[in-house]
Amino acid sequence: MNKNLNKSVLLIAGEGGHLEQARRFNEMNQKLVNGEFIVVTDEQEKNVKLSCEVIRMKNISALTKQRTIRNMMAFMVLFTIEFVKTLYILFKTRPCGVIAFGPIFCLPFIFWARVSGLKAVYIETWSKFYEPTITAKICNKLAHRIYIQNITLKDKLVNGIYGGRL
Amino acid sequence: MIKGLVTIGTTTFDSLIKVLDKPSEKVSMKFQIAGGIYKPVNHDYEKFIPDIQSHYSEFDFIVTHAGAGSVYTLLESPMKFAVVANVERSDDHQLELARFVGSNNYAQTYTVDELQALSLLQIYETIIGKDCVKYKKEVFFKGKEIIDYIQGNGGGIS
Repeated sequence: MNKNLNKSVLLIAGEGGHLEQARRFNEMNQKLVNGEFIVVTDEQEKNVKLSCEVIRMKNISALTKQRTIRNMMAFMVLFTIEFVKTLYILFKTRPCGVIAFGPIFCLPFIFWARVSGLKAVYIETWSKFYEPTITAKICNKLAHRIYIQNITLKDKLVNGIYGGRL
Repeated sequence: MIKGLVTIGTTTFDSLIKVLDKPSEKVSMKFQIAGGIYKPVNHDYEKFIPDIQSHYSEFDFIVTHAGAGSVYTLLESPMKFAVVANVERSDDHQLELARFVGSNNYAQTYTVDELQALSLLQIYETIIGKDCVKYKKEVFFKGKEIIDYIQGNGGGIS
């Protein structure tokens, strides 16, 4: 495979099911990418086996599952630190675009891609059928493209492109 | 001895662990408890089980939280399992997926309250005896389109 780093694509994913979707996307499409996928995740446990380069942030997704004021403040501080650290690594890597799988900490990466002139794609989580996530509602405007995995979401996300399920 | 596995992913779900930590002469459980405070007293437990999916076949039945990674992997496997939505979380992701599984009859679903009144043997027998619909999906087909779009090789929406 041609490992052209300037054509590398970032896959941004949180822990658990988010990372499992990124893993499946990587496995299905690794041969199609002219370069390589680089996964950015905050999962620490290494339960999901990834066959590509991985950048691990400190775990911040857990703070969003119990949304107390204390957790949200800790999330903002930790995320800012981790985001800056990750951007420094990415500056050296120079990817050509971003594919995000959620959760909400993907948003700054999407925003960063847009202001940097890179393509930004969001794939809504496979676990939502009836009401999109907040991240998807924002990405409906913020990302260049948004894909949905459950056709039942089509009415809720007008820009959503149905793509089947990972 | 019947062997059961309880997996809750990376988020704590103490109420599920606690309600299934019942003594039984016929059923032996293994709990994956993540960062939970409650520690089982009647069965084995581990905080995390590395590469847990490769261990599923060692068990006769599985009770899983409604985390998407766990549920979809189990739906694609021949394992018999039940799904319990974790309502201890602040979001409702797991309720939607549990509803999807239950309404399509892909697997047994429970709430924590429903498990309260059941013995481990009853839970096992219900899961094993359930006549489920085989899960099928339309495999993701937009990968090439997305990559071509990002890498500037076209990728028009088809």
